[in-house]
Amino acid sequence: MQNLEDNYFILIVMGMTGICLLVISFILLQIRSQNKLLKQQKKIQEIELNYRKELLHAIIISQEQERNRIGIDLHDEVGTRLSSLRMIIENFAAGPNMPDPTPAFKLQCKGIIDKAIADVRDIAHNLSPFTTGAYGLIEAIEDLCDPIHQSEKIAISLQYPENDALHRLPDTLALALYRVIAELIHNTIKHARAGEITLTFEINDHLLLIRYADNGIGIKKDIGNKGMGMRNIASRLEMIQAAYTMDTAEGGRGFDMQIKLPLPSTG
Amino acid sequence: MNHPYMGVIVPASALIPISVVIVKNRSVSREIKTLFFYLLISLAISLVSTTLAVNHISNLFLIHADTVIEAVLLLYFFYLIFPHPIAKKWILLLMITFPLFCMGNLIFLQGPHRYNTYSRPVEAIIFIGLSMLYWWHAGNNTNDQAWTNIPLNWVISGLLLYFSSSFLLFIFSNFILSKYDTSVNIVAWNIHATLILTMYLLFAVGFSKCKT
Repeated sequence: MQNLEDNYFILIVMGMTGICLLVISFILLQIRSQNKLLKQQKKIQEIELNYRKELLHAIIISQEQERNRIGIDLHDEVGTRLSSLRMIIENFAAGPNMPDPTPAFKLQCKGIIDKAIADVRDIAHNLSPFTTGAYGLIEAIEDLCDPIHQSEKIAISLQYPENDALHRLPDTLALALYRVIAELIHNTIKHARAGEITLTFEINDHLLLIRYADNGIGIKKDIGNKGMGMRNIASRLEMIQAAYTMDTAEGGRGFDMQIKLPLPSTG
Repeated sequence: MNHPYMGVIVPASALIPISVVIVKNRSVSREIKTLFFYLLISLAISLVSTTLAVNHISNLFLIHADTVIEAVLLLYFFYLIFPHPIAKKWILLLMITFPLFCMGNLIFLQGPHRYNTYSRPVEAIIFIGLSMLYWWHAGNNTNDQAWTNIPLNWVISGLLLYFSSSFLLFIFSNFILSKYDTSVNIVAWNIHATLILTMYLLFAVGFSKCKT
């Protein structure tokens, strides 16, 4: 007669083995998933670090370019004027039978000095457009747009709300926004082959919304992150904690950038 | 000594994690110190148990005491590692009610001369649940350390492996005792001893990961 009853002891041992294997699998999966997560975190940190390095590089390069430009401006404009002034003073001489040259000399010197003052003012203005009294962001941008308007190659439409909020922007924010817009305009002129630029400012619930658009050829998406100018823009916007989106569509649909900046409370 | 593996070698293996804690004394946290006391008490109970067995005196009543002491110390360990106040409150409640349940089982249900097959599986369920809760928390926390460098991961793995694998044995220990002869029982408890040894070794690895 065959014994039909199962050996319960074997069943219990098999049950224990099964549970043990399940727990081991659970722990191994846990290890695997946590290590995977850790790798991903490290990768993200590495990407962020590289991005910051690139931004720093862009900042240093643009600083050097700016210094270079100031040097050239000082040398070519102010330096030249002062040299010519020196030459005029050196050559100043009154002949015995000649009329008194002093009024003409004074006029010539004053003219050169005035031009040198204007050059210095221009250089200072380029360095920091907000150094002169009640001069605000909109005025600075209008000044920036004027020569482009006059060239009649690109039409710039500037729209902004008629309230004090834009004038009350702290200088650091206004300067950063000014530089970003200047860079965008520079990019449009240099690369976009555009005929029109639209720049709109809106204020909505303590949020400043800026839209910059042109009708040029647009830019490739990867260039949007790699170009030195774009990196400068990104770093300046990050510095003032502004959020931004870029539509870099190609095919003549232009370039579109939207910036959102939380306005500081006025207390 | 008839069964040196489960009677001497495995209980003595508690000395491995104990010595790691002694070596790393300065860097171990309060929760690891709680486990250190748990290991010391387990070692002492095993010594008494083996002495009784050698002298042919029943040591089953010690399992009842061991269950209570083990549960209270391990519950305190989990009390220390969980930061959430609600979890702490429930663990405190278990630290009071579980010993009462064990005493009720000892006095009214199973008595001191049978395996505590009601309270021991309940204890196992509690610790399987708490181990899972730990993994749940560990999964939610973003940790910048590798899994293997976190001491508690090893400790909890040891506890989970031991309690879940021994669960069926805890339930059927009286059944095996009554239905099968001594040799089968010895095999069963040798398997149990191997699980304890694994837990102690995982504890030792975990303790060694404590940073100075």
